[in-house]
Amino acid sequence: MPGLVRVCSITRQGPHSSMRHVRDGFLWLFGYREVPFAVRGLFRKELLHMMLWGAVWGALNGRYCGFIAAKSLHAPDELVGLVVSSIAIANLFAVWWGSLLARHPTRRFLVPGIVVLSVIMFSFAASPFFRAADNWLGVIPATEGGTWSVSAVAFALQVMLGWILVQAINTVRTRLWRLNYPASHRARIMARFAIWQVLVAVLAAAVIGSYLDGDLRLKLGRWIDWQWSLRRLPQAGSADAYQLLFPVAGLLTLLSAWFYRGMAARRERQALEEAHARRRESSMPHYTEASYNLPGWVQTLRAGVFLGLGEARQLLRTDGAFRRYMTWQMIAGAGTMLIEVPLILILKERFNVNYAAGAALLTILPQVVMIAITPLWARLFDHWPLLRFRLAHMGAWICSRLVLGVGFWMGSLTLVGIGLGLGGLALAGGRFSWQLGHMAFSKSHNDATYMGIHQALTGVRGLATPFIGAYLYRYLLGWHVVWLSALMQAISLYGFARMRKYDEPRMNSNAAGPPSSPR
Amino acid sequence: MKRRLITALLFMVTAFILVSQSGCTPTRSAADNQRLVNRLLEREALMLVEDVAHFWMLDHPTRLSTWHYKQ
Repeated sequence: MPGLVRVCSITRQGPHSSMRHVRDGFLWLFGYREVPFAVRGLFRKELLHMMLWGAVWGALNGRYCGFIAAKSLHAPDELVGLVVSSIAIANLFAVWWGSLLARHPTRRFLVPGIVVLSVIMFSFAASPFFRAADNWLGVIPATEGGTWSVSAVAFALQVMLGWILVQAINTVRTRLWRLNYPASHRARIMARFAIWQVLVAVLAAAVIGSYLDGDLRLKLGRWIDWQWSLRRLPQAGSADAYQLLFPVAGLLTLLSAWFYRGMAARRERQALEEAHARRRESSMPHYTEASYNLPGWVQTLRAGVFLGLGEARQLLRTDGAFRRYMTWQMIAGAGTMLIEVPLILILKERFNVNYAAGAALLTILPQVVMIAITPLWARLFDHWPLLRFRLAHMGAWICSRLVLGVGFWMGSLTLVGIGLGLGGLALAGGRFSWQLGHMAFSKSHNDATYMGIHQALTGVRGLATPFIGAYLYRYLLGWHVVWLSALMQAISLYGFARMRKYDEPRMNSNAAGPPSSPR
Repeated sequence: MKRRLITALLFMVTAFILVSQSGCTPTRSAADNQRLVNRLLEREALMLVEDVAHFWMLDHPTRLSTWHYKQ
């Protein structure tokens, strides 16, 4: 080590230069810092995997796929809406993934799932055949522009299947985190994965976007305005370039599966046996004598559909604290999603922003804030009890909504930008409480079921609230819908505060204590 | 009485010498404090670089040992 340190000039920076923080944060992304020794091997596999995984996330980005569907496939509005909300619809399947995971080891799903996902990504290369089918079968014009065609429907189905698999893999991965990483370090470990995922996703989205445009343009104010042509590359500048780029993302996905080989889940057999024993002694529905008469595939289907739902119902009935938590989170999440569609419409209609500014405000600014603030939230998540974290997090959401409301009222784009930046700040915290929050209620044997319920409820509100928000904006409240969103979040804040009083003593603590030990 | 006084005096002198030489006295100057903090920060930075190097197997302990046996 000393040899390397002497060569390495990064450590030579004085401890009081402000660049030290930048340098430390940068290096923190690339190494084992703050990871317990016992899990460093597993962490290494997972981080290398995550460095590539963001490519799928960027390629299958709902908004962008909707844009491609509308622009290069002339899909009708219904299909575009389906593509945009495919993430939410994919969440609905999570109950079944959770119940499957509760009875099978994770290794049966992890790498096979990613390989199937990459096959779906490769299948975008088959789009020319669907185009041929369009020519052969003809297309049906829709009422509000766009046409129903085989290629558009196939594209929507591909994106939907892709998201279903992505959500399944996310569920598997959350279970792995639960089993592998100690609660005291979980959020700080996950923060790195989240940051890498967002970084790579932004990069992938930028690459795909500029490839479809045919040129790469860097414009920073009036000082820097560079433009590089990509026309020499195959299909660059054509609307069909996604047929080339999605399979490339699929290749990266396949490579990321390769990094996951030999991934272990610590003490998984124990957890599975425990879950099995509990299932046998509880009154949950499982195979009965009568079901042996049914053919095998019917039994499998029955187990897959009804056992998942039955388990979820049973769990919500028995675990009051988790039920209350889900209720308040439902209100909070609905309040958050309520404003998604109105926000786009307000920016378009009230402020008349152009496409680049819209993209910068809606996606780039929040994500940059998110990357910057994630390590801080991670530290807070590890050291605070869940509900205290939720209170701070809901406070951030409410601040964001209030600033947005004032911005809309005054017609100031700067204030709207600040509000959206605050929204990115809150989103960064939301990522932790969304992915790890249920672990404060679950035991390791029923962890996946908890996550499944949570994801499915997210799917339910994702399916309904954006449309309700658009309706409220169009016909009832106008831009004042933002106050409704703030009100819903304030109600959930009150709910979490009440839970903190009555339910917190009975929840799992993350047992981290004060930030004392250096490793 | 006299012996006790002398014993106490000797004990106090010994304690003073030990404590003052141990580096734990509260009479550290601000510059000393600064130096200590700098050393801690440098140590933190070295550990960070070490962790990055281990992640990318630039200087992994296990790899070094197997390298030794393979020669």
